[in-house]
Amino acid sequence: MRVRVGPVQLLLCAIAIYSVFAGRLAPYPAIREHREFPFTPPMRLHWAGFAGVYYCGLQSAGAWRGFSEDCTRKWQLRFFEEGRLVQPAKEGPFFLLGSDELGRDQLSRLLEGGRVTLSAGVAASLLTILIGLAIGIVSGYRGGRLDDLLMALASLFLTCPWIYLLLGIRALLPLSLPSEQSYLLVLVVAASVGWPRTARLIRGVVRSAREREYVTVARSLGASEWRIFRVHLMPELRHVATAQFAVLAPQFVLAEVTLSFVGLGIGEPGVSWGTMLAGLRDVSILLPYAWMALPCIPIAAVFFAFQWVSRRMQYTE
Amino acid sequence: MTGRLVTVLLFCIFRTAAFQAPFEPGVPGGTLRVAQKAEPKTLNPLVAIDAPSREVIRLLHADLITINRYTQRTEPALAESWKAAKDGRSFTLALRKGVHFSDGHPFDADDVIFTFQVYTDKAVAAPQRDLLMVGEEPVRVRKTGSHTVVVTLSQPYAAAERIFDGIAILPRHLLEADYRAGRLAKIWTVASTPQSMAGLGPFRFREHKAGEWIRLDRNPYYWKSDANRRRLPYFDEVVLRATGTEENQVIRFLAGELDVLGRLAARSYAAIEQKALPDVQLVDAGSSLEYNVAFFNLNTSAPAHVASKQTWFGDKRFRQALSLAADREGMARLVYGGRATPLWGHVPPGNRIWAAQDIAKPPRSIPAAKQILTQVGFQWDSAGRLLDRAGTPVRFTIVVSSSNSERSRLATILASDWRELGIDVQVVPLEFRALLDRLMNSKDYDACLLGFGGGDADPNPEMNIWLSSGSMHFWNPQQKSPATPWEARLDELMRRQMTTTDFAARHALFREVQQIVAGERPVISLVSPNVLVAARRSVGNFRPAILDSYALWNAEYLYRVTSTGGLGQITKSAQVPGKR
Repeated sequence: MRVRVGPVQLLLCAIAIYSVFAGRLAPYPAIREHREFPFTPPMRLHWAGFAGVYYCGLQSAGAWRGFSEDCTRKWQLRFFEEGRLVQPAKEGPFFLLGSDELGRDQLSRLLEGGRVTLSAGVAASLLTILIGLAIGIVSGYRGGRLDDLLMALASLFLTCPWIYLLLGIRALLPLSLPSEQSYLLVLVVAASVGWPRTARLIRGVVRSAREREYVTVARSLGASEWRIFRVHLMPELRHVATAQFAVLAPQFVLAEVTLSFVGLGIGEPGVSWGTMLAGLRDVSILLPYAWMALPCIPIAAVFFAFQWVSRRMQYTE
Repeated sequence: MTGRLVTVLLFCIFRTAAFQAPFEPGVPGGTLRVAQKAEPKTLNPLVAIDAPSREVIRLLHADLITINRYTQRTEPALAESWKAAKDGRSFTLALRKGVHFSDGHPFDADDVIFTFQVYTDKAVAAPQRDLLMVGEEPVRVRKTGSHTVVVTLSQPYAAAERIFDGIAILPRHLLEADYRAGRLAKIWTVASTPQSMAGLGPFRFREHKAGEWIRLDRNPYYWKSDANRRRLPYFDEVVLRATGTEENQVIRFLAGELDVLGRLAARSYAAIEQKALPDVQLVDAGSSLEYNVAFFNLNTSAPAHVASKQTWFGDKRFRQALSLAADREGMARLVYGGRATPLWGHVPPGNRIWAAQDIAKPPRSIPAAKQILTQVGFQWDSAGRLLDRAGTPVRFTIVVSSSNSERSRLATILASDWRELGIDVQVVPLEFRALLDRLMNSKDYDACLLGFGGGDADPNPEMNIWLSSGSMHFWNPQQKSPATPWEARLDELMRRQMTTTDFAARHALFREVQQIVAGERPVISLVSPNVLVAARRSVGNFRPAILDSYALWNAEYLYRVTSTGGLGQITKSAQVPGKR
């Protein structure tokens, strides 16, 4: 099986690169507050020919009454300075995608948050697949009572009410645990609980493969179990695992958003796409400050991109 | 001479606070449509503890002496006058004559005797019983005439007349049998028939539709009348709609389905304000009695991992430094859109009678805060982290209720302020019951951000917070003996002010309490949100107050103003649900 490198994969790579280098790409640190500029709408860039790109100052109409552009004050946007791609002037802030309630730059938070959300999604998916592979292979290959026991365990895990389990686990964690650690721990737990579907799938593939004629022939010719596993089973499992990854990764990205929305994700001052969207529980924020919903766009893009990849894999099988 | 001057000044402040323009005469008729976040659970004043139930009950019943929500002073209600004995332990109340319950039955001293008997009966377990306990003894009421009662207290109690506010007088003729049979807790539910109920309030129960609304009718026997001797209330009906959330309230209000919105969050207020609707009046009644504070865990029974941090928390100068770093103005602006008042003392300025004016208000200063920390022995490493004397990084969490978005945002700002000092602070939003469990039982928390107040302006209802033995003395509750000298002094001052009947002396005592709290900083006062309400311009005499119930405290005086000349007509949008 080959996965063609198309525009969506490129987009995913771009998002991943953005996330890895978020600190350099972001105009500000994600937690930097400009308390004089809460809920600033996305600002315009002005082109000044060879002089470069500049942006205007902001005029406040009063608390929560919005801002207007004040081009009597202009500042040039500088590039590749102080280790950052974009460097706004110190005299006046620049918010390409607007600011949040504490005057934090939405673009910087989006980039930094993407790093957390995507890495967590990928890490949790890989862990799920690893556990699923281990249990599925043992179960499918050994069969017998061990198979029955492991599959019964998988059924038991499938019936677990996840959200209550996570709520319980979070309540057991000490308060002083750094929020990133507690968040990762929750994701690890989520992945540990999410292994049954993958394990069942892997088990089915292993059981089917080990009954095939070419495996029987190999065994009759004296091939060792390890060789049979490595040469005849692994290639099939690799396809399944890759497809599983494409299915699980967006699910875990969404899981992060959901967990943060219900207050189980990364806490302040940490930032993720989920924590950025959590504030939208207050509908009165969404209506006047629509740019606060910006993380929805990369989340949807990631989700659809992974879905597209998994479909392409299905067709190219 | 100085003492006399202070008394005169206090009198002037008191008089200014007490001024209230009379209500204009209204026109009868119409329906008042009010929003409630949830529907009332009961109509029984003996068991009601939820806000929606109490709001409805206030419209159905009356008390002997009431607190005028606007002036914050007591005024006659069913007792037209009262006289205190010289020893401050007994009051003689003269009841109004010719008053009838909403079912037409006459009211007299026997109803008052019965009411207090029921409320103070341990077996009934009414939530008001604690309020009627003075010096561990319940108040005693005896009848000296058909319309005269004498109330006796076990010890002198300052502002004793305020304890009558909110004690709904019950109809003995309807409830005595149930009381004798021990059934009082089960009566007057929202499913009860209107005929089974009676009260002395401006309205009486008519109908309830589960999950939607409750309808009250005008009480034709109500005892109050306006300046033109017209019997109140003006409105024929009040419909209280359960809307679920504040967002729903605002949407329905903007759609013209509601006349009055009770207390609003600043965000909702701003959303309505942005619409600039000509038929809507928005009122910012100013600083409420609610105050948001941060405090540290000083419990001696705290878990070991918290106890190790109490060396920092227990140092007054550490708390003072952290107070200096708090951006109170920023909190008022960012969280409440400027509709809140920064606080340095624990009594908000909305409490016009009791707030001390001479509490120091040092401006926010990170350098000054760092200087204090340096003096105490803290230092910073190369990464800017704050280290204590032993070189341990200063790190702690602030717990906050996850259901209160405004308070969560306050915690976010406070944590960010403290990070500027090099402290690693994390905000941990917890479900409110889980939060209370940590505060009251496990004591497993470092710092907490909580809101207090909102009830009466008088200091006495907060005894439980400021006495070291109090269960709500959260930073170190239920102490057998005061843990610190300043807590011992607080105990003494609070106990003395509770029994001092001279207002000026009492004021001086409570002023010292405020100064101790501001100096020792057991709680770091942050902001007091304003009371924000909205109503249609067609609601006359709308005069919100900062005391609960903010918009409906003068419901009997509210009336429908119509521009078409059809006084008291119900507009189309005012049609009562389910009524032809």
